[in-house]
Amino acid sequence: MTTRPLVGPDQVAAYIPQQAPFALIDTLYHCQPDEAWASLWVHPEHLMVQDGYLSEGGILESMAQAVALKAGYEARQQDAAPRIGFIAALKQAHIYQMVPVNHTLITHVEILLRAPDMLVVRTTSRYHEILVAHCEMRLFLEPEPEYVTLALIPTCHATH
Amino acid sequence: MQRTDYLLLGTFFTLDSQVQELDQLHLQVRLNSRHALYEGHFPSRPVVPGVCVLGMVKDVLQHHLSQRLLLRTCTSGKFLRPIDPFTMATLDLTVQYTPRNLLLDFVASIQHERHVLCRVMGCFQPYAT
Repeated sequence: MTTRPLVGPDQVAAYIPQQAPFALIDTLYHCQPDEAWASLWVHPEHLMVQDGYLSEGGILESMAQAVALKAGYEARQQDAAPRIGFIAALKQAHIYQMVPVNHTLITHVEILLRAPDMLVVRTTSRYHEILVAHCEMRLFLEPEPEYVTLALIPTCHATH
Repeated sequence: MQRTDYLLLGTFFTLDSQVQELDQLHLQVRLNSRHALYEGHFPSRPVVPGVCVLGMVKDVLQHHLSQRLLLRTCTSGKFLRPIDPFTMATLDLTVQYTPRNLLLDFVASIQHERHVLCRVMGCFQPYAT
């Protein structure tokens, strides 16, 4: 994936509600209504890193934030603020491989079901073509924030 | 295991009490509402990340069994209500664990004042250090 990303690390904070030090996605490469590709460069000092690897929780959270980034990018296309989303359910999350620091975890998001305040997605993560994890997630989206909150979201906020 | 072997135990949460009944642990845990991750999850709206519940179960079992574990599967996780670390600082955590072949199956739930906040089940893989 060498094409210019839709959202890069220096803009990502404007697209997702999660912020440093708990930001776990940094780039959006591709975004279509039913699928997206996003990635995280695993910083050695990230608080979800342990013993040189991104923790299992860090992998699952990166998947959830890939979905948040897709939703935030689509919201921005329509001049809306990103909505806070919570993981409501995880189903059949399998972790096969840990991701070492200084590597990039790439997540594919597939939308299975879209409702006004709920998304059901299938996520698959890899690094260097190695399967890291896959999972089915149900995310609950909070109601649209007021328009004024847009101004409060930093537009340029380093995540590393 | 040493304190630094845990991602969350001792920093994100601490154990107030622990009672064992056969293969079931009943713990009272205390959340550290000043943990840095709440600055980002979410700004001005602190909520325990669902994935940290899995991390708490892992650290509790690693501590109890003196064994390093890796989360391999979460077959089901249900997060029924957001956990606010300020208003729900003390939580009741129940963890049931069953060895199966080389793995360790678990079922865990978190309650606050008798309200179930989440339930997770899956398996860990023990590994040598």
